Amino acid sequence: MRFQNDKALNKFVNMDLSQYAGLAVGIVGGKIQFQDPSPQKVLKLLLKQKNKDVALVCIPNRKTAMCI
Amino acid sequence: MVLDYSEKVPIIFPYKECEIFISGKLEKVLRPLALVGLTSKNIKFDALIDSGSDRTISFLDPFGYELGIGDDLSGEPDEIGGLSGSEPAWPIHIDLFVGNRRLNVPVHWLTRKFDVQKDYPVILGRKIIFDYFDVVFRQKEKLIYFYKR
Repeated sequence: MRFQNDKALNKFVNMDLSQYAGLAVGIVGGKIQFQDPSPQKVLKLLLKQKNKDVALVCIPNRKTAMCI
Repeated sequence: MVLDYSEKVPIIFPYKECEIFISGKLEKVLRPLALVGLTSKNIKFDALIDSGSDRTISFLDPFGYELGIGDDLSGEPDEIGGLSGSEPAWPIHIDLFVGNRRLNVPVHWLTRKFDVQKDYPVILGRKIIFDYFDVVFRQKEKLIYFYKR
C-alpha cells in the first residue's frame, strides 16, 4: 500500500477498530500502548512521551449527529 | 477539463470499517478517517474527513485544554449549526498537520465535553484544507487521496 511512512498511521490502517469500540487508544512508536474509556487519561499519558510520534485514536460505537 | 494527478504524490488515508449501534442494532459502516496533527505533527488524532462540513471542529474538553488551547478565552463563542441543531464553539486558528504539510486552520472548538461513545476528536471540514488539497474519495478502494494543489 502507498501510505506515507508513518508508524502511527500504519498501525491505525491495520487496526481492527471493532476491538476498541468506545475506547480511546494511545499509539506510541507504532504500537498500542494505552487504552481506556477516558480520552483525557490517554492523552495525558501520550503527552508525557517526549520526542516520540504518538497518536490518540477514539472509536465511537454510537450513532452521532456528526455522521448520519 | 481533465483531472490528471499522475505527476503528484498524494497523502493517503483509509476508509475504516466501524461498528455502530443504531436503534439497538449493530451496523457496520465505512468511514473516511485521517490522522492529523494538532499543534504538532508529533501528536496526531483521528479525524473524520467530512466534505459536508464547512469547518474543522474539535473539542476544548479535553483536547484543547490539554494542548494549551483556550486558556485565555473571552467574550462569547460562535454558534455553529449542524444536523442536531446549534452548538457553541470558539474559533481559534491552530497549526494542523496533514502528513508533513502544515496548515494554519481555524478550528471551531466545541464547548461541550467530548463523548468517546459518539464523537470523533476532529471533524476535518473544507475551509482551507479543501482549498489546499484536492481531496479524492475512492470508497470502492477504501482510500482517500489528498493531492496538494
